[in-house]
Amino acid sequence: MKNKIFIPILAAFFTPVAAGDSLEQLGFTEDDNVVVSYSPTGAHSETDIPQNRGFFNISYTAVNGQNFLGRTSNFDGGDGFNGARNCLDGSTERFIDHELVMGTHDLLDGIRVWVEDSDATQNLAVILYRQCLTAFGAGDGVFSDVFFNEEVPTSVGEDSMFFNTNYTFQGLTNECKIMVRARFGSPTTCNGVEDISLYKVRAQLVTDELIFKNSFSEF
Amino acid sequence: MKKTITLLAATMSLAASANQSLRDDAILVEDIEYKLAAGFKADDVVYRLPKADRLENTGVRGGITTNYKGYAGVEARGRFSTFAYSSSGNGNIWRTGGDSFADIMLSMPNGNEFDFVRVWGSDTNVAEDLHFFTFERCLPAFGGGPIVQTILDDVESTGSGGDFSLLMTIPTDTFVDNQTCTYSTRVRFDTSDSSMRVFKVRAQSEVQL
Repeated sequence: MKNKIFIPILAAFFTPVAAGDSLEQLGFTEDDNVVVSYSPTGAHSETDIPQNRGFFNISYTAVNGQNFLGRTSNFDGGDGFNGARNCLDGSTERFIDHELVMGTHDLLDGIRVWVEDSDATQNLAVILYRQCLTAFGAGDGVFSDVFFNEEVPTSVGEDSMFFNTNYTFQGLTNECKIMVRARFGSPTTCNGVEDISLYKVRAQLVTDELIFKNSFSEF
Repeated sequence: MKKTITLLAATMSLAASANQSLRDDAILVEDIEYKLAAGFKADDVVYRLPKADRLENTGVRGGITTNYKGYAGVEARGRFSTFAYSSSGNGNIWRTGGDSFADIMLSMPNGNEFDFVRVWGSDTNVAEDLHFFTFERCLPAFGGGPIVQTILDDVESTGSGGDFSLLMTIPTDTFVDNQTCTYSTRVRFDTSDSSMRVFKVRAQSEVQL
């Protein structure tokens, strides 16, 4: 019910949850404060951007699959030999989460995801969301804003995809965190999807620290 | 037929190059026992850099050029979810059962020279020691492929004297490349009690001006 409060206000920009795109499929519950605001991909592609172009500084932060945490402790993960993560048969939790580390004024240009997938029917879904709380006081629970829900459709082994967010999202660390979530397949358990592994997620950021480029900035 | 052979050879060549280390001085690890001891699979392609021999700069050199990033033991993630652990509440960690390996991912500024990893812990176990490894894991910058893994250094606690601090020395000219690689320190616990604990892991890197 709560999520419906937000949708009329932001209707011009945000898309309601579509059929087949239930909050459950995104890893939320119906009681969560969630707005689904899938963004159109931008005009440029990842490789159009040199590492340092004029006023833009491109920076990267990355996280291994192994570093993701299960949405609940029911997550049973394996394949950490090389820092990757899969979801083992019998796991009743299929979602894992990690923050995208961003500076306060960094803009998220996009994320690149590396996977290994030899499953002919199931895919790894990548869900990008922003989780916010009132900056300096209590609020009406956690507000989550889902930017996109994309699948990495491959069954041929190791693959990588770039998802373009086109500078749209800023790391407002005093109120919000940008989180990335992975979902192993679409069934409610991980039975049969052990052959999908998340290798790595890399955030491509546009920083505004000109003189600190690649040196004094933390990331 | 000839075309087929040529294509096959080209494919094999590509596959080989996709799995090659980015470093000329990297040595392919063929010792299976060592790979297993470091938490890899026997058939994993793993490289090892030669041992480096240089002194840790304990002072701050040039004011602001040394970057430290520290991690508490409890920030480690199990290689498998079966890794079970406990802590006394001050940030330390010890294994209580399940998988024996846990990794801590190291975040450092892009372009810095990666110099050292220092670890702190406690070992009161007479029979076993804590073993630490620091890895570089790289993937193609803009495409899919295998994870190329390189052991940058490893170190092991000795004896059972209690608190220790050990240093892993990263080979020279190892520059942080956040576009392509990630960096992790792995610890192997051969016991499942509090006789072997990890307190902290610290990465040290140097700004390149």
